Amino acid sequence: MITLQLNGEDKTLKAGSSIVDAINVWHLTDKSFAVAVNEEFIPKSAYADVSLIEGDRIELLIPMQGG
Amino acid sequence: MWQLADKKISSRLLIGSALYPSPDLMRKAITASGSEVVTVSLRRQNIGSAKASANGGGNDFWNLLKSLNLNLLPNTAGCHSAKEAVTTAEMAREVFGTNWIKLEVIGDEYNLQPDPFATLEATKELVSQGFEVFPYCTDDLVLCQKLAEAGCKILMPWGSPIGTGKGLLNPYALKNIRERLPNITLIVDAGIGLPSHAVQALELGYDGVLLNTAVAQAADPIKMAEAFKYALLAGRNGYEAGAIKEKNLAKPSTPTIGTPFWHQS
Repeated sequence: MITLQLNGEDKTLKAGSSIVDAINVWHLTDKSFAVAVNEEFIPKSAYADVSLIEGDRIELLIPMQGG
Repeated sequence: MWQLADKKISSRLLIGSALYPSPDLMRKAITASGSEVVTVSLRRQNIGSAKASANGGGNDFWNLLKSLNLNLLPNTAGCHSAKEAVTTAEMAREVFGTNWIKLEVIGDEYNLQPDPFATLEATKELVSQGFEVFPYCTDDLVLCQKLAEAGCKILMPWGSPIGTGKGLLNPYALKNIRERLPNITLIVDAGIGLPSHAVQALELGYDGVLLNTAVAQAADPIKMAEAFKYALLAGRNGYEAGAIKEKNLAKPSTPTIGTPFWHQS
């Protein structure tokens, strides 16, 4: 298992997991969201290709009110 | 109709979607304002048991927004570096399906003053990536010139700090920007508290106004939204009509010929 951060909270995953795996394991159900890993934007088309590693910082952002 | 980036729209009011007492009031106020451009943001999804919609965002908010069928202007609010802002903009482009971005890089926590250096740095990167950058900036003429040189067709200098409602603190600086950058779309963003502030901005020749708090936090957001709708019309008509020159010497409006009881002194 590896430990990483999702939106600032510690989470664990199987080693070698992709972003697609993380979304499934963590039951992230919002339909509209975008992902960054270690402050780099990851387009949806690359979710299956990115292997997450120990200490990665994942940001999963959703639409929100704004000014 | 007027041209905002690649869109032709009618209203000169750009309105925020935050701080309303309820989603229903947000929807009604935005509709009453006549605005065709709504600002939105991206925030962390609540991880754990609470649904994202508990924050007022997420799927419910997104569905409500889509039902309004307006142009979306995502922001990079809360970013403190060019890197954070660029990444947020890239994420916003994917989620909201638009290359428009209200670029906001905060430089000071006390007055939320935008960081001019990081704003310019992020602008250059975003323009190179094909974004239509709407930079929230200070009313510094040289900064505005540099942002225009970097490829911005639209600039959004502040009237006063975000949420203060102080109106246009430096009309001289704003007027200078208008005169020196005649081909740039100019929008006063932030600090607007009253409909009269919006009128003043448009009388200066600004193309529009972006506001949120003034409507969302008014005692009656729907009525205030309507007040701003008319203020924008009044301000623009006042600008296009060509105002008289200010004078020191009084001059009567009523004809002096035939004045009753007139006598030569």
